[in-house]
Amino acid sequence: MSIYPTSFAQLMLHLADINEHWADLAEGYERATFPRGKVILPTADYLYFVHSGMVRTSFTTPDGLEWIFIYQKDGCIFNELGVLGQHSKVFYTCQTDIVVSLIPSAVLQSLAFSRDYPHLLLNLIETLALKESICFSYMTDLARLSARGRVSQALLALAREHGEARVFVPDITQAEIASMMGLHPTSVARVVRALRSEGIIGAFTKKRLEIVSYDRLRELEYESDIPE
Amino acid sequence: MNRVTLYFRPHLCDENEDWLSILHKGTPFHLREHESFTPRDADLLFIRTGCVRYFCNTAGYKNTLTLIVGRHSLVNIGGAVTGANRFSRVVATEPTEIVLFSGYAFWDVRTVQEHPSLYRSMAKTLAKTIELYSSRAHNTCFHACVPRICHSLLTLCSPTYHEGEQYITALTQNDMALFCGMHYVTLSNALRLLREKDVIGEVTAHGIESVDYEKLVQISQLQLQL
Repeated sequence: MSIYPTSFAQLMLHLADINEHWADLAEGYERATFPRGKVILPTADYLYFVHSGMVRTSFTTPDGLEWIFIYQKDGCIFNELGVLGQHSKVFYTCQTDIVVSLIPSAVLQSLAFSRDYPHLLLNLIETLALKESICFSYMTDLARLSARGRVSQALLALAREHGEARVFVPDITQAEIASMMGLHPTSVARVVRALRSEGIIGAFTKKRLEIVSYDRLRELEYESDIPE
Repeated sequence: MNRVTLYFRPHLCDENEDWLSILHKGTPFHLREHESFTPRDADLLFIRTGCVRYFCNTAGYKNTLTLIVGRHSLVNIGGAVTGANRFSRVVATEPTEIVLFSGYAFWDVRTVQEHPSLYRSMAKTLAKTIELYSSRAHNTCFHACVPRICHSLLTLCSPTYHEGEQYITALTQNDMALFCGMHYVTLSNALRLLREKDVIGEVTAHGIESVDYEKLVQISQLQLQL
């Protein structure tokens, strides 16, 4: 029944189609189109279902910068925390133009919802469990890792999303990796340059990432600079 | 200056009271103080009385203290839902009664239709855990030691004491260090600084005495630097 393997809490950078069964329910509610760059604040009123496009979930850092938590694409729901009563400090930004359905939170609370869509309630819980697992990964592993460890984890997370292919389209920039891993873009560029010079990875652009040695990348993914 | 005592509280307490109505479907057992229990892949644990420390393995193979869970709350929802072994374990901080459920028994649509409140309660607990974890990750990644500790203390403490509420009676500084994502010695130094600046008084296993609450909040929100 799992939507993703989570034997260990693992970092994931992109989610897609994990809530595709919500599409039927979403059809019955108001649609909205938001332009790229539009910021959507958490609300107790609506759960959003993404029909097309990509949205990113972020926090603001103490320096006023954006810490990106995850990207979600077509077939995903977002703002679960808002409708479940958590006054979260997250916000959502449209990475591209997006089309969403606005599912009123009152619908989710109704008896009719659990009677007619019990599989969606189960899927909601699975989705929350998956996101909890990703948060756990950020909280434990990433927060304690060196810059090399964080970048290696991010590259391996991207690789897992692409079936651990040798070459794939990561659809993410080095600056975005920096924002997700809590690093300065210069630090990410320095680590990427080092990984390339050591022959661990090849090209890394938004359109092409080449992993030359998975074994050596895995050796780095838990490199920490905090004493035990 | 308004000074208060802060009392340590479990992260999760009285979260899943709807589950009290189906305890007869589970298997009860007891843990003595400091006794541990390792749930199987899909085991769902309900803390009926008492309190546990909840440990999980990280992908880096470290078993780390994750949450403190008190009465009437579920433990290991994530593992039970996904059927994935997170190598979690619970350790009782006091004599504790637990009711064990098989997650598989709850994973069918008919049970959802019969007991929707159980699932909504589960979803709310997961949302709260996500909020706690993401907030802790944000705090660990971006905040310096002192505001990080102040933030952690505020998520773990209550400035009021009410008869009938559940409080933690034995929280160690090592536990606090794990929640803050820092070394024990670093925590100890930062607590000493907070004491010297008269923000907090003595730190005990039950709580923190004589705290300048307003200042603690300001430091956690980076509005005040020591």
